[in-house]
Amino acid sequence: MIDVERANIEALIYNRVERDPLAKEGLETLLGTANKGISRRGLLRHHREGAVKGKELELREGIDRLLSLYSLLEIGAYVGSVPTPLPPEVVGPALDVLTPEVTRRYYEEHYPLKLVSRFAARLRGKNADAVSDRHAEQARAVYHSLLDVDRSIVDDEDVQTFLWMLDDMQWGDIGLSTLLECSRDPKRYGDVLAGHEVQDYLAKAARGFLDFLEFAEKLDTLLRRAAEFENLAEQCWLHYEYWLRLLGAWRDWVNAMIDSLGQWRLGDDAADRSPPDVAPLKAVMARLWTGPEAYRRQD
Amino acid sequence: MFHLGPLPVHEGRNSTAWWAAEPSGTAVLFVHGFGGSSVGTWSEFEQRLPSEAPTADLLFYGYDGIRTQAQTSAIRLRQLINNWMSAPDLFVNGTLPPRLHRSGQLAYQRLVIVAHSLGAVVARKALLDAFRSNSPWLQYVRLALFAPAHRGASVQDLVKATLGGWAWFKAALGLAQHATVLQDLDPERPFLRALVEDTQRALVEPGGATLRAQVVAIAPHDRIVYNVDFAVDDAVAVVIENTNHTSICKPCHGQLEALDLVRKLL
Repeated sequence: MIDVERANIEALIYNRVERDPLAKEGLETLLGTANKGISRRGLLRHHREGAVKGKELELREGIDRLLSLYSLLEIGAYVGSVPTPLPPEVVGPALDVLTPEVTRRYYEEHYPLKLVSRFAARLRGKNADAVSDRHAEQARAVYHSLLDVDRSIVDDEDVQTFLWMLDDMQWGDIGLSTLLECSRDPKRYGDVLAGHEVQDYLAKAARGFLDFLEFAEKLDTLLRRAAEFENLAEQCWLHYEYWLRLLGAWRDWVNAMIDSLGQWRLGDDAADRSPPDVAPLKAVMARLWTGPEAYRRQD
Repeated sequence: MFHLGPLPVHEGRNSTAWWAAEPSGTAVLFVHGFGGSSVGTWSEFEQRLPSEAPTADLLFYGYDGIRTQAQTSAIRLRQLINNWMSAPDLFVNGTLPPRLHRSGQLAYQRLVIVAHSLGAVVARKALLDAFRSNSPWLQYVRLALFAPAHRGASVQDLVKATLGGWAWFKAALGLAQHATVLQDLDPERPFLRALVEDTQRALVEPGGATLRAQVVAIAPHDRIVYNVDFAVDDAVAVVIENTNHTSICKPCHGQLEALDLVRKLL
């Protein structure tokens, strides 16, 4: 008889790390079993201390994916979807990854990831936060929905390109400023969207921005559902805190883009030529930027 | 808990599986409609069905239901079913870590295909092609259709009703460039006409009865799909009260008829 909870955490790690070459290499690098010649201190610097290029980009992407998994595991532990206590084969490697000071600075100072810190505390036996039994089943359902919603952006190369761009990434002359500039002209933005060349990072980011807005709506729906179950909404919001805060710094641009796109005429072939009502989407973004307090249950 | 999941399946788009910890040879495949998503379209099925069908493998299939022609989606769906049914252990094990691999030589004896709206068109075309190519798994199929668009749909209402908020805009943008799938839902266009005629012909051939829908459920005030019988062999349609085109396939507290209809086919 399979221990389903234990099997599920094993499967999650397998699919997020073992089947993902970048995440796997990130794990091995942090454990010191791969890329031994690379200084972890240098690799895990804040990107404004020195531009990240070449192989470092891949390694850091892999490390970020690994940390994202730990963040999800913390939510999984909170809703009781993973075994308590965590299995030793999970605890051992995770502690080895998260304990060194150089790694802690990365997820606590350079790129604060509260859920990863909470997970590290849980591994050390200093965090036992959990949703109460009466909410456990419904909270687990929300968690499963979160895994589904999360996958929709993790597996979306366009969204990833947009997020990297938001995080100061440049491909030659192409970067966030290029995207901002092209977005001022709806016609040009429309032309860019149609680009399908593999190396067309501007087109990917332009599509990724639209995909991210769709994701934002799904996340908002999920957070409102999660609000019913103690601190679950906060936990889920924190999983995306870094990106939401980064995007929040560009909120005027995002709102202008939503207004601008809402004015588009889509041509005779489109199913409807009237512009969509953009107010609900702007309200979604405003809630997401406000933070977990926007999703507190109103008793 | 009876199932391992949710597990990402690489075939399709965001396809998601829930594999039974103790499988019995029953599989359920969900196929969403226009602009839908693998799991979201079936909201709460993934929560409620595992306890109702603890030994059934569940696969929520995702595909591009906006820009891809129905014919292409049907071919891909049939290919997925072929892969899954012809080598179940191999297919399932592809999503699991080695320690959890199945080794019991599982063979399915039942495949329940549950499809919504455009998904019904895609599923029917996939089954018709499977019939023509003598796919052995076809004999195990039971088909359940919710608000099927197999007799066509009002395109503008479909886009408006099935896609809310930003998804609407994105879809409209995509449709401005690739509107073919909506043309497939026009009852006067060749695709749907051929699907109806070819299925009708196949139904009277030996083995053709497997193409009949055993459940057809419609929403009382569905203004999107044209509710006309597809084939005389199909089960008589049932109306699920207090639902619309999009909620008909989302069981929830107080409205569990969709779940009951699927459960009866297991």
